[in-house]
Amino acid sequence: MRFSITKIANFFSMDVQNTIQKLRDELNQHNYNYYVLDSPTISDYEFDITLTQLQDLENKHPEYFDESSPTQRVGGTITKNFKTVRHEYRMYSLDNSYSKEDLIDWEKRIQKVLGDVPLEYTCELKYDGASISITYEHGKLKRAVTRGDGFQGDDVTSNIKTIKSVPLQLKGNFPEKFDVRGEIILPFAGFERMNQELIEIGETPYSNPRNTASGSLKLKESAEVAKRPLDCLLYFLIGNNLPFNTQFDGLEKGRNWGFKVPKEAKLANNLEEVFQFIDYWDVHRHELPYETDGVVLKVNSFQYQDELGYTAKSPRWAIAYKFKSEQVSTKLNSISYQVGRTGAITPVANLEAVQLAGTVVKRASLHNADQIEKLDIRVGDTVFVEKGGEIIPKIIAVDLSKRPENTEKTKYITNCPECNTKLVRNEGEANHYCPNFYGCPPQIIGRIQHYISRKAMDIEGLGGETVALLFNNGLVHNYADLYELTVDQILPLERMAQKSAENLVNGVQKSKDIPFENVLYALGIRFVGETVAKKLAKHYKTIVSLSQATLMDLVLVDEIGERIAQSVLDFFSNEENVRIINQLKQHGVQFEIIEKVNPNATTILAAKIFVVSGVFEKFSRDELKKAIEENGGKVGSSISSKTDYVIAGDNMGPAKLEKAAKLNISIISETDFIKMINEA
Amino acid sequence: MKLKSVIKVLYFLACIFTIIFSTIGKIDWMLWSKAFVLPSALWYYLDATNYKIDFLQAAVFLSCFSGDIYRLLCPNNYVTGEVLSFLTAYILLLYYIFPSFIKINLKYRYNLLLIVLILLSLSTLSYFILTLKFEKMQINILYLILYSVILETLFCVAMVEYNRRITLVSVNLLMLIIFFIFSDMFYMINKFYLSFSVFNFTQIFTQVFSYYFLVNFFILNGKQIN
Repeated sequence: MRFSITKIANFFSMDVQNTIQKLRDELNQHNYNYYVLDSPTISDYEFDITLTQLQDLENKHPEYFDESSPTQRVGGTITKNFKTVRHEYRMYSLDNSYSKEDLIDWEKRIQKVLGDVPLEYTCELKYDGASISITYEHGKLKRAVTRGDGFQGDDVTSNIKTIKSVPLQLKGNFPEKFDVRGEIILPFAGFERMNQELIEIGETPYSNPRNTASGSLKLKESAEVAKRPLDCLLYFLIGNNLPFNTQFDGLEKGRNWGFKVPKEAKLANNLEEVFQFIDYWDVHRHELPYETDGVVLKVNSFQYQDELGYTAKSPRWAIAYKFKSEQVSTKLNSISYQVGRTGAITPVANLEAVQLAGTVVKRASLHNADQIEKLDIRVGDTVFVEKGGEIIPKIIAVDLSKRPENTEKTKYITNCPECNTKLVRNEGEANHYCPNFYGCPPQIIGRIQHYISRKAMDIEGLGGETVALLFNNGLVHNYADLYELTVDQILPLERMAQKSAENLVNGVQKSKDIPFENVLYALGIRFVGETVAKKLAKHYKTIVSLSQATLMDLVLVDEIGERIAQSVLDFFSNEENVRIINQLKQHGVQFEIIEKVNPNATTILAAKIFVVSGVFEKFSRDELKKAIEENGGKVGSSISSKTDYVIAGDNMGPAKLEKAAKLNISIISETDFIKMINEA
Repeated sequence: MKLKSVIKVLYFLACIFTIIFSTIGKIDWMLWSKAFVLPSALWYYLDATNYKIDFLQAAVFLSCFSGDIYRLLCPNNYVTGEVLSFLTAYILLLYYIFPSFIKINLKYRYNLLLIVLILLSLSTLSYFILTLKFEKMQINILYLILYSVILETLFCVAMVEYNRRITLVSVNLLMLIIFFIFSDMFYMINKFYLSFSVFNFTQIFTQVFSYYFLVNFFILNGKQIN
């Protein structure tokens, strides 16, 4: 092959550029045949020879360099720090279900929004690996980013390029720009081969394929990644104006453009067919070459997906069904108690090490005193352990037949294991709490760790262990103290050098630019998570007005309930918290929302609730929703008596149309809406 | 100052002046200030709900308003219009609460005992009040019996809800019904049996502030439903 092409090229004086391109196309096709179709047409030797020839030509003619060339797959770049990149489309996680009843309930929830319309579902296996988002522009791989927190992840493009089943150049008629969502996995065969090699050289083998795949993406040397037999399985395409309208067609298109799409995916016309798919793969999943832990169901139609939308964390149109977990039995050696940042006490079972779903399990959560009581678990018992959601191990039962004689009933602790304060248990709550909020070390450390975390103040150069180190050395007593740290104070600490100390101090100083909603979340007010913090920040705008709000005021804020409201009041009624906030203010931390002024924003739609349904010509659905919100309106997810207008596009569902008519709600077109906002 | 705060101030000023003028016997002035109480309460409600109101809630406000008009403007001894207006408001309120109450509370058997106890005690109280000689009052006694039965039922519902779970909704509902009962009871005793300034103060105080709990209950309950 090699000789033929070069000879022909020389013979006809074909220019070098064409030769290089032909070799690239040829190698791309062989990669596709081998890694995606699993049917190679040439030997490995022939492939290597062709690759070497291309490398030689590219070295001689660097002017023809192309980042999508197959030679780029061998790696060689070294990344010291992976750049954090924002996802253009957020990477949501999926809701989990563990029974068929959960899926029936899910369908009911969908039908509540869509009405009684016929639904198709795509059933795909849930691959157990590391999620990745890859952007393609003009058919070329532009960037690959890890999931991260769903909003932003690490740029691991150089490592992803080394994975042979990831096409660097697409085939056929592809859109100009789109993102591909896939899972980087390590097939069992490759994993075993890697472990065999490690054992041969006397190294410790890897614990499971999932963690190994995930860890591989963060290797600094891409050449090392190239050596690993990683694979990339595509499961979703996202972008504007994609040439298909259903998830299943999307998978088919992806396959045609050169992606590896597992052929197990199936289109189901009803839940009955979904259950058949689940039942089949529950048994046969062990025959697959890679790990799966469940099935992902997606509403097939993109139009319906748009209408269903998203919750704060996951799409309403998709759900993961988890296969029943593997169980093992082992001995309970002791029970210890951990104190969380809120003071919640969690009993932990210390077990005799046992292998479970690819990891060695030594500890499992016992949740609370009720659970211990319910299981009647005692030290020395033989217990059954399983992985809840395949991640966190939990004890599900005690093997009473193996209970040793003279065991004593477990007595739940009455005092905090860390500070010896008497524990309290609030009425209606399952957990015991240590009330020593400002004196119990794990609570203080936990709060500071929460403060510096990525979703909160995102302080670079400072990790959980360093926080503990700073606290134990008396350098910080609360998160406001972080802003008073100096390099000279940090340098004498264990594992601290000039550079790391400077990074820490700079990271802390940089966090002063973090917006108010993140700061509010970082304060660690009980029940105030990311979403609630955003709602509160948006409503109150400043910490001063939030701290002055009454219970009734707070409860009237959208999505804020009494429990959260009471917790906010409790937080601000504590003098120590107020003192810390004042300290943070003095250091310049953001306690006000800095609103971006949109010159086109009006209040013409104030207090009006809109529901958007169908496909539109001049707006995408997201643009339309944004326009409503920018003009003071609210977007509702389903039609109710509170809805003022339904903006109907093409293919609006008949059930929605009927409901809107029944409730006498105005149905307006896209043009009517544009007129409405232009009246401002 | 935000609009919400302005309305609140207006409502509380109207309430305070109504109580003061009523207590010192300046009835003409009280008419003016009381005319602001229910409208400002309604405005507060509308402001909190983006100026949206369900038919049922609007009907409750309207019935209370009509009851107030009768109470303030009609001849001294003729109370049928007033009783029927407030009775309508209470029936509508019961209709508003009852479906979710039945759905939630029938599961709890212990509530039955509580309901029986409350009914017994309230029936005794009603019997005592109804046997008083309201000689000047011109009304069919059957209206009053129905009135007390509906109020008793409302109190039972509120008490059971409160007993099941103490929330802002249940607290506001309970306070609302207690204020309704006190207001009606002391109004009748003061006007038709034994006139006493403390009775007058209690009835006017509980009546004007019952609207505050009514509005809060509607807002919070509406939020819970949504």
